Amino acid sequence: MATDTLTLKSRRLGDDIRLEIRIRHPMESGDRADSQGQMIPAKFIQSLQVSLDGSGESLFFAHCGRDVSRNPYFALELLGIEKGTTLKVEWRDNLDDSDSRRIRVV
Amino acid sequence: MITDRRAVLKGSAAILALGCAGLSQLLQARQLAGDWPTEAFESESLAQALERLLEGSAQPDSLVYLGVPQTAINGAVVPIRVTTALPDVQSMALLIPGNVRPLILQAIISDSVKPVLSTRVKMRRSSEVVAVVETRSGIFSGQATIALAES
Repeated sequence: MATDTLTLKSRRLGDDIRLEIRIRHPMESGDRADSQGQMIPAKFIQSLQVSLDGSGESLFFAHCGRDVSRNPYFALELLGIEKGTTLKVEWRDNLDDSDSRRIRVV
Repeated sequence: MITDRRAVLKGSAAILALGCAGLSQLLQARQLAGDWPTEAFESESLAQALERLLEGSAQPDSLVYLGVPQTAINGAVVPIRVTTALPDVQSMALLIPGNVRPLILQAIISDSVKPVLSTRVKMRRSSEVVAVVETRSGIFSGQATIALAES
């Protein structure tokens, strides 16, 4: 399991929470050769989930393909999240590597 | 797996008809979590990707918005924002027909999330970019063009 790949930032915009997610990940499409002409195997994030920590209720879920940029960035806006709520963000890639991180919203 | 997922989606639709929309969206999100739609993501045409992803085609609608640069200097990192003023959004997908595999991502939108998503994508050449929004009343699309500067 990967570690320390996720950087999370949250900011309150009125009643909404803007959540920024940055992931350190190569997002290799499998279509590229290295400098020796060897194909670089595909390694890309296939799923991303934001859920409520504790209950596990899913708030946002995305399936990704090979053409999301290297070191993916996502920004989304959450509704009705109370101050002090802890969110959990997790990703999983095609090689079953994964990571998760929690953030307490203000 | 795909068949199972479709059965579940149809089941969700039935629950939806009963008015338990929040529950059904949650079920849908949970079900999709384990099941990456391989056929849709490996599709090499926009129409095929959409047919496999949503079992249908999209109707252009001016309420689906794409925020994109007119010209992208770096095709490895192109910022894109998808949003819509349409009500009852269930999912939002992003497709780039100029890429080998057009389907870039699909996000499932619960009642706790606004239909707004910003991300960054790879582009191999200048292309249309298509946002497809699935709501309770249909499938709608918006599009924009991004010119890739010669490197």
